[in-house]
Order: sequence, then structure tokens, then C-alpha cells
Amino acid sequence: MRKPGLVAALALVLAGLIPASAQAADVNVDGLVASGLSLSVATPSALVLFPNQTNTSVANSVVTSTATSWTLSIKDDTAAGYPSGHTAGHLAKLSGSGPTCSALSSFAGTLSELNAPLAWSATGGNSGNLTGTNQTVKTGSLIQTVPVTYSQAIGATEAVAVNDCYRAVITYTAS
Amino acid sequence: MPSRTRHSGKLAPPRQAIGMAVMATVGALVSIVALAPGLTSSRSRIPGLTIAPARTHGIAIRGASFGPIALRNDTAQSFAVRVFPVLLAQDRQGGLLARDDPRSVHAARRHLSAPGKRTVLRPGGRLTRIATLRKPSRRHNFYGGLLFKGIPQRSGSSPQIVTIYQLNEALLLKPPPRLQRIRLRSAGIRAETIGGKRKKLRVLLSLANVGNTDVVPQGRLRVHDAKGRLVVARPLSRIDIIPGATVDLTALITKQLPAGEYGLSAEVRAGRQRLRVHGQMRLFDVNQVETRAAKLSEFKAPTAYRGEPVKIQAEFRNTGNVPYAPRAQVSVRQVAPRQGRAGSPATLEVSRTAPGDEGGISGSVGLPASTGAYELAVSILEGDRVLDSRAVTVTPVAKPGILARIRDWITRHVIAIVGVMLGAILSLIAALIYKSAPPPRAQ
Repeated sequence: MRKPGLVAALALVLAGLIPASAQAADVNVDGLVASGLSLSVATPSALVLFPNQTNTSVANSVVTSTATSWTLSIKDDTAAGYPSGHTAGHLAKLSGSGPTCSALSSFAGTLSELNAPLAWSATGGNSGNLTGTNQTVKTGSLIQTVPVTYSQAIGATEAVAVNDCYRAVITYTAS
Repeated sequence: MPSRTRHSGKLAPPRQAIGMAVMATVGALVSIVALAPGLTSSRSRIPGLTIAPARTHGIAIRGASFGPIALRNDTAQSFAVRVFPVLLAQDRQGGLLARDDPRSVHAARRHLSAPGKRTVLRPGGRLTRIATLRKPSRRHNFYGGLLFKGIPQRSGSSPQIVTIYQLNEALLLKPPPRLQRIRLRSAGIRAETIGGKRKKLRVLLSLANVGNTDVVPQGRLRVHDAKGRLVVARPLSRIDIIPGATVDLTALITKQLPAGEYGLSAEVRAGRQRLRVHGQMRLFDVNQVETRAAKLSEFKAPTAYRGEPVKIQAEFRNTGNVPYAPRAQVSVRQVAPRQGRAGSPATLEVSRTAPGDEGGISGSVGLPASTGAYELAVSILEGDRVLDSRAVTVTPVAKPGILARIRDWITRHVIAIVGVMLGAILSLIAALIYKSAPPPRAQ
């Protein structure tokens, strides 16, 4: 009864001592790619608003997917606390004033928004005006960086005052 | 986390078996470490939100659960996360879209549930949900998903453009095998020219999935010349088509085909169904087929007055290779205070434009009498196929009085008015100087 136990113990010791190269066995380490989808959107620099000018700003979005294809879409999030009567796609005025807008958090109680909608354009993808419904920015596969250019036109007679701050709340959907 | 270790080679004696077991364990650990997202270094990750799994295939059985579906926050800010079911749509390129409009979400809730409260997901945090199919659709399937909506919490700075993240876990649930009906219908075959100097041909086979299960059709395209000789054979792209969607399978032809008549034939297999589609292609130059294509380049938001039709003006670029005027239409849909359905579209006038040039689209559309905001969507079409679409939202306002409009017109054209007046004054002064000058004395 002692013999098999002794052999097993000896085998364990030897297994630790014998170098791996002396053992004739192949071991395959396989990797299975998990299904996943990742989205990262950079914050664009602030658009400088001035009458009779169109200002642009670029933000990179990175979509990473292990699926054969992904779709990135964009829309104005009309449920994001805009004042009532908000027209989807238009930047709305914030409560308070600058010199920097970063300290302001809520929209003005009375609706005030820019006349033209915020336009977007994806490099190698689609372009359009921001609306309240999803529009496809780009369809791709695996990992891709999608630079999205926002542009805001201000009319020649549009009443924008110095230090006023405007904001849009944009939803990106990766599917 | 799935991992798999396979041994090969001849039957090993006990000592080797123990050594192999040790190595296999190490191997398994290596593979687990390589696959486990939570164990790897976060420094190599792109800072964003990640959902896993992103796509689940299964069978639509009442009460079946799917998950856990995890959302991970690799950013430096916190997100308020809400999870809700959605339905899926598919575009012609095969891209899956989450339909998150209130009507679709309401419909999706009847089929799918994912209990859980709104949660704050902190940096490095992970949130999991399990989706349960309440009941399959009337077609015994379910093509929807679980949408994770992450709203960034305030973190000192507050940007001009705030970004909300939505990531969708697509659930593609087929009917049980005995109820599956695979049925594809051809919606035409056509070719278009793409590329710069060295032109290529892209052949598109439009397939509509009229069955009740998603399918990945396998197909091949053959191109024959006028004498019936095979000149090109290419496999068609493989796309998973969900029920109700129409998708273009494509084949790219890089071979330079001379001008002439060609026959296109595609053979597609999906389950037991075999589909043969035939078409013609006339090349007027090397790899140049008449391509009618256009893209909208501009659609400015018009001013909308209550009780008056809205003037529509848009521009398009002819991206094809022949003079072209696409069909254009505008549709109206109420978006506030509540979402409505799009009304029947109104036709717009389009100018015929040379390849590469910009053309104009004009017309008008009436808005309903009710107050609120409306989305105006201009589309350009070739047959029933939408080439491009662009939308704006308008809120009709009361029309100002005639004096206010004159004042507004003057303000808008102030530079031109001042220029004309200045020109007129200068001309007048010049004329007066000319008249008042003494006539030249006779010699």
C-alpha cells in the first residue's frame, strides 16, 4: 500500500526537477476573443461664437469592437434639461454669463437658442445637422478613430452678447 | 472567462503527465490572464465606456435570461447610468441601429426586462444587468437589445458640448428551429463606379429578409460579356441580415473591363433557399457604368411662421458620373411636445446638375396647425432607394408685422444698402462736377 504513494511523491519531486525541454509534450495556449464594444468621445474645444462667422471644432471618437461591424450614431438629447420649447439641434443659452462657461451648469429659464443648428461631419463618414433623432455617423469594424467636426454658423444679425454661454447635449450611440 | 487548453502528442507516462499537468495549469492561467479584462492593466485601455458582451445570439424562449451584461467605466469621471430595452433596425450597409425613440422603447419593454435601478458608475467601476425575455414577438423572435445610457456627472469643468454615451448590447434571438422561416427576396442588382483614376466597379445585390430569422447569406457574383463568356467571378460580402431589413451585399471588381454590355448574375444560398438574380450592366468606358449618385451638401434651417408653408432650400452634389437630377422630397414629423409619426412626404423641385457640380433643391411644405417643434427631413432618392437625407428642427413662430419684417430685411442687407447708396451718391457727385465744369474754350 505504501508503494504507489511513494511513486507518486517521487514523481512530483522529479517533475519539479526535470527541465521542461526533456518532456515531449506540446501545449497549445488558445485565446478566445470576447465580444465587446467600447466608446470613447473626446470633449471638443469650445466654439467661438461671433456674428456672421462659422466656427468649427473637432472631437475624436474612438470605437473599439470585436464584432464584425459597429454603427455610431448621433442625436441631440432633447431630454437633457433644455428649457421648454427647445428646438432640437440648436445650442441653448446657459443661465449666467462668462468669462468662462465651465462654471455654468444649467440652462437659462427662458429659452434662448442660436438660429442655426449645430452641423457635424465625420471624416470618412456622413455629415448632417444635429437633430433629435439618431443619424448614422459611421459604420465600421474593429477599432477606428472617427474625427467629428462640429460647426456652428452665426447669422450677421444674430444677437449674441459677449460672455454669453451656449450648450448642446449630444448623445453618441454605439451599437 | 472562456479559455481552452489542448494537449497533443503521444500518450505520456505518469511523470510526464504530472509535468504536463503543471504546465497546462500554467498555460490555462496565462490564457485566463490574457482574456480577463478585469485583471489586465488598465493603462493600455482607451478611456471610455465598454460593454461586454456586445452581441448575443440565441433562441427566443419566453423567460430566457441573458447575461450578465457588464458596463465598465475606464474614464476619469462618474456616469449616471440608466438601462432600458430597445428594438433594432438595420441600415443598407448592414449596420445595426438601436431604436431609442419613446415609441420603440415602449414596444421593447413589452418583450424584454432588465431589472435594476439608475446607478452612478464611478471611474473603474463595473455595472451588470441580466436581461430576461418576457415574451417573443408575434413572429416568434426578438431582435432588440439592452441600451446602457451613461450621463456624465459634473466634474469641475462643464463643457460647451456635453457628450452622453449609449452602448447597446444587441440580442439577436431567432425563433425555435421548428418555427424558423428563412426567406430572402431580391430587391435588385446594380453596379456603380467608384475610385479615382483607376476606376473600380462595385456591384450591389439588395436583399430583403422577409422571413422571421436572421440569416447570413452566402453568395457569388458572376459577370459575363456580350458573348456569354465569364469575365469575373467574386464572392459577395457576408452580412447577418435581421428580419424586416434590406441590406446591400457587395462585390468589388478591380479588373479593368472595357466598354460594352455585360450580364450580371448572382447566386445566393441561405438555409435551403437558393436565389438567382440577373441584371445588366452597360459600360460606356473602362469600368465606367452610368452612376446616378448624389449627396446633400447643405440644408439650412428655414424660418417657419405659424399657418404658412415653410420654404425649403437645399443643395446637393452630383457624386455620379452623368448629368443628374435626383428625386427629392421633404417629410414633416412632430418632435415636441410629443413625438409623432412622419406625414406623407412632399415633392421638391431639383435642378439637373453635371457630375461634380452642386445643384439646388427648392419647394415648400405645410406644417400642421398645432404648436410645437417639427423635424423637416429632406431626402434625395433614386427610385425607392434613399441616396442621402438631412434634417433640421423648426419651431413655428407668429409672423411679425410688415414694419418689423422691413426692418429685419434692412438689417440683414445693411451692407448692400449702404454700398448702393454710397455708389449712387458718388455717381451723383460725379455727374454734378461734370455738369458744373466750364465747357472747353473754342480755339
